Amino acid sequence: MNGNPARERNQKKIKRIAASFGIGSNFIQNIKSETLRDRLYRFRKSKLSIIGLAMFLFFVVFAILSPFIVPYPKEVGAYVNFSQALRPVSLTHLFGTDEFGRDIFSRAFVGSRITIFVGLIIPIIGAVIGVPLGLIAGYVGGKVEAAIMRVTDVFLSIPPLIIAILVIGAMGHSMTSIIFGLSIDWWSWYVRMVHAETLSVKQQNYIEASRMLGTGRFRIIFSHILPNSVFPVIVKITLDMGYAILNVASLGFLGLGIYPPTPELGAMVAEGRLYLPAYWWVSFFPALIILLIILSINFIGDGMRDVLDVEVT
Amino acid sequence: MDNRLLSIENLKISFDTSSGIARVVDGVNLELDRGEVVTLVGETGCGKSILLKSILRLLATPPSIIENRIVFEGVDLLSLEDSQFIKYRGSKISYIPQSPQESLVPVFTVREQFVDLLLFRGMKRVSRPTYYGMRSNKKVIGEITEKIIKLLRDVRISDENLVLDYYPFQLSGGMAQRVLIAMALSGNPSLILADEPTTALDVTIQKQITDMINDLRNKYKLSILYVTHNLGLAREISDRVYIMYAGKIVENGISTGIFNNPLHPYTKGLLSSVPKLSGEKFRGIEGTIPSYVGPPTGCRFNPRCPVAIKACSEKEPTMKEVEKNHFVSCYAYGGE
Amino acid sequence: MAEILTVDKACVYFSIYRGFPKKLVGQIKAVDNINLSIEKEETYGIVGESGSGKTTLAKAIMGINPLDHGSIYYRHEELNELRKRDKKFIYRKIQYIYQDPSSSLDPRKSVKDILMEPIKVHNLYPKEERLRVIGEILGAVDLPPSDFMSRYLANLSGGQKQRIAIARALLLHPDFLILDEPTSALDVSVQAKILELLDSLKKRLNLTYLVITHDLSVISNVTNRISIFYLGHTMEKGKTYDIFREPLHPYTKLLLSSIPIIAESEKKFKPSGVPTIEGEIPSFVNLPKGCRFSTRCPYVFDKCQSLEPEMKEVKGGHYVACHLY
Repeated sequence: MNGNPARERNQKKIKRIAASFGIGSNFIQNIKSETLRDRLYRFRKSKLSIIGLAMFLFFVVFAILSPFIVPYPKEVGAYVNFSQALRPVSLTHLFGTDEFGRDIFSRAFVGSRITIFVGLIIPIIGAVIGVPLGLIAGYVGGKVEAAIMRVTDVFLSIPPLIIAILVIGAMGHSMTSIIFGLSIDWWSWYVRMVHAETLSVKQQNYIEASRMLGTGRFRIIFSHILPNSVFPVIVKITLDMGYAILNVASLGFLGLGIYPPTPELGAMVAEGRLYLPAYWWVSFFPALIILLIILSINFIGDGMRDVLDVEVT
Repeated sequence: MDNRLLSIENLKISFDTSSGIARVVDGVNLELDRGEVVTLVGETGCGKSILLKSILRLLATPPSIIENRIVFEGVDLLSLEDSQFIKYRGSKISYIPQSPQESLVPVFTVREQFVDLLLFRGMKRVSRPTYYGMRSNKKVIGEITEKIIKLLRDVRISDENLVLDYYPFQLSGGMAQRVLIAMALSGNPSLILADEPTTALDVTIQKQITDMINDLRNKYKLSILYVTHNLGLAREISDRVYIMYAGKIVENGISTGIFNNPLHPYTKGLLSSVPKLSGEKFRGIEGTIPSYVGPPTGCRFNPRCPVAIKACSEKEPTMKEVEKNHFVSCYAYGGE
Repeated sequence: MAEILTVDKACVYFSIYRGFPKKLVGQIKAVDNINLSIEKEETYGIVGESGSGKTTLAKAIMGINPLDHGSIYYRHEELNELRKRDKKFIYRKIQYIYQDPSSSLDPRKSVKDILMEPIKVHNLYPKEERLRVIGEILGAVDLPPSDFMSRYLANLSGGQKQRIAIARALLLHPDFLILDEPTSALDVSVQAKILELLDSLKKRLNLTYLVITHDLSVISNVTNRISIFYLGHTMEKGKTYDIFREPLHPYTKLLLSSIPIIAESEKKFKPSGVPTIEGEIPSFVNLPKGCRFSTRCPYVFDKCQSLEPEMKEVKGGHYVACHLY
C-alpha cells in the first residue's frame, strides 16, 4: 500500500461513483471496506493535514515547555529594562524586544499557553453542553424540543464576543471569566447541529428496530444516535478551536483578557499597535503565531472532514 | 448492411483502489445484432451495471481503467474523442435507468425536461441567448410538443397533456418510468441500454412495462441490451441471454437453450434458487461473491462450485460452443 | 389449533394536515378494516403491492403504529391496552425482521454489540454466560462465532447481515416472528438459503411466522394461508394452495398472471386468459368509490363502482370480496 498519490485522491471518488450506480454495498465492499485503518491511511496521505498536525503539535509542545526552554524566562512577566527597549530582530532577540525591553520571543511562546488552552477548552465545553441538549431535543420532540430549540435560538442570535465582554465586565479579568464568557454562548451551535443530525438518524430503521426490541429511550439516544451523529461534532470541535483561539486573542486585543504583565498573544498585538510601523516586530510576531496556530488547526480540520466524510458548515 | 450492431471485445474494466487493482469486468465478449433483445443476467456486484455504464462512457476515468474495444456500428467507441462521442450518447445509444423517480430532475416539469432534451441533446455548451431564444421560439416549441405527445402516447400515457405539466413527484413509479422510456425513444436510438428498468416497480406494473417494451420493440425494431437479476423476466423478454458472474461471462446462448438446458454450474444454481410455483424444492448457492481484489485463480466460480475439479483453480476454461448458439465456459463441457 | 394472533377490524389512519393553523384536510386509510387470525405454528402470508398497507399493519402489531379502530390480540391479550411493563414482556415474544438488513442494524456496531443489545435491555443471562449465548445463537444461524463475533457490518454480505438480524430476534425466545419482505433485498441464490434457514428454525423452535411480501413465488412456497391486500383492504384470503390453484378475485388473477416464470412447465400454474389491463394503482387521497379495484378491473360492472363488496366465504375457508361471487 505505498506510494501512489493518484490512488489516494481517487478513494472518495470511487466510493461516490460506485454508490451512484446503485450497485450497493456489495460492490463497494469488494472494492474497499472503510475501517479505522483506511481512514487513518487517508489522513496520513493528505499532506496538508500532516503539516497542520505537525505544526499544531509543535506549538502545543513548545507552549507547554516554554517556561523552561525560552532564552529569557525572567523577562516574561513584570520586568523592565529600558536599555534594551524596542530592539529589532537579532540573534540575541529572535523576535526583537518590546517597549519595556522584554524579549518578545519568550513572551510570545509563554503567552501562547493561555491562548491555546482556552481555545481548546471552549469548544469541548460547548460540545459537552450542546450535544446532549441536541440529542434530547431531536429524539424526544414536542414541547421539550420547542423549549430547547427556542432558547438555543436566543443564544444563537447574540455574537459570542459580546456576551464574553459582558461577562468579563461583570466578573472581572480572569481566565475563568474568559472561559465562562465564551462557552456560555458556544454550545448553541452544537445543539443546532446535533438536533438536525438526530432528526435524520432517528428515521433510520435500526432505531425503530431497537424500539421493537424494547430498548429504552436513554439507551437509544446514547448508544445508537450519539455514535451515528458524532462525526460532524468531532470535525466541528476541531474547526472551532481555531475560531475560539481567535476570539480569545480578540478579547486580549480589546484589553479584556488577562491583566498585564501576564503575557497573552492578543494583548501583545494590541500593545505593539502604538509602535507601528517603525517597530513592526512588536505586533507582527505575536500575530504571526496566532495565524500559524489557527492555520494548522484548519488544516487538521479539513483533513478530518475528508477522513470522516462529513459536511460541516 | 452489417447486421452486427454492438460487439464488445475482451472488455476489461478495473478500479484502482487502496487495497489493489479491482478487476470488476475481466475479459467480457458480448455481441448484439440489429433488432435483437439481449439480456445480461447476474447477481448484485457481478459488474453488469458497470459494463452498461462503460458503453455510455459514464464511468470517470480514472479511477476506472477501461481496456480493449467496444465496437458500435463499426466504430470503436473507446477510441473516440469526447466531442465525437457526444453524438452517440442519448441519440444513437440511449439509456433507461433503474430508479425512475430519482432520474428526473425534481424541480422541473416533465415538459421542461423533455423540451430541453429535444432542443439541446448532443450539444456541449449552449450560450444563454441561444438557450432563451430557442426556448421562446413558439413554432419550434409547438412542433416539439407535438412530438412529445406522440411519444407519450407510444408509452401508453393516456392523459398526456396533464402529465406534461406534472413535476416528477406527482408521477407514480410506473408513470415516471414511462416518461423515461419516452425520453429514451425520442432520439430514434439504434440501441437502448436498459438497467433493471422494472426492479423498483410493483409486479403488476412491471408486467405492464415489459409488455409495453415488447410492443414498442416490434413497432420500432428496437435493439435492446437489458440488464437484470430477474431470471423469469430475462426468459420472457429476450432472444439471447448472457450469464455473468464476478466480472466474467460464464454462459451465453439463445434464451430457450439457456433456460431449458442450463449447463454452467452457476446457471444451474441460479435457476434452482428461484422459488417455483409448482412447489418444487429450491436451493441456493453456498458462499458469497469473491472480492475483486485478488479473485480466485482459474474459474472465478470454483470456490463455490459443487463439481469443481483441480484444473478449475489453475486455469480459466475457454468458451466452447456446446450446442448450436449455446456457449459455456466450464471444464465439465470440454472447455480448455 | 389455537390462535396465536388475531387482528379484529383493525384500522390505521394517517391524518393529513395543511395550512396554518393546522387543519385536518383528509385521512389516509392505510389499513382499513382488516381481519386476520393466525394459528400457532403456521406460516401466514400477506401479499400486496406497495401502498397496500401490509407493512403498516405489521407495525401496528408491533405497537409502532397506533390503531384507530379495532383491536389486535396476542394469545387473547389485547395489545393496545397493555401496561408498560407487560408490553415489554409481551413484545419479547413477538419479533420483527426487516426487509433490508443493512438499514435495520446499527452500522457503527460490531456483531457482538448488536447481539448484546437485547440481552442487556431485558437483562437476560448472567454476565459471564452472555458471550457463550451469543456464540450459540450465531451457530444457530450458520455463522461460525469465532469468525463473526467481532466483525463490523461493513465487512458482511447482505445474506450474512440478514442472518445476524434473525439471530438478534431469536435471542429473546420469541414464538411469533413477523418477516417483512425478509429476502427481497437479497440475491436469489442467497434468498433460497435464508428461506431454508427460516424453515428449519421454525421446525426446531416451534415458531409462528407472519410473512409479508410482494413476491408471489416465494409466498406460494413458504406459507400455509394467505391474505391478498390491495389499498388497505383484504381482497381474498384462504389456504395458499386453494388461492394459487383457483384464484377468485380479479386482482389475485392479475397478480398471479404477472409473475415472470423461468420454465415453460410453470405456465400451467398461472391463470390463463387474464386480460392485460392498463392504469396505475390509485392513490389513497382519491380512492375510487365502491370497490377499490374497480378502476383497473377487467370484469367491472355498475355495482362495483357504487357499492363496496363484502367479504364472503365461497368455499371452506376461502374468502373473497368481489361482487362476482
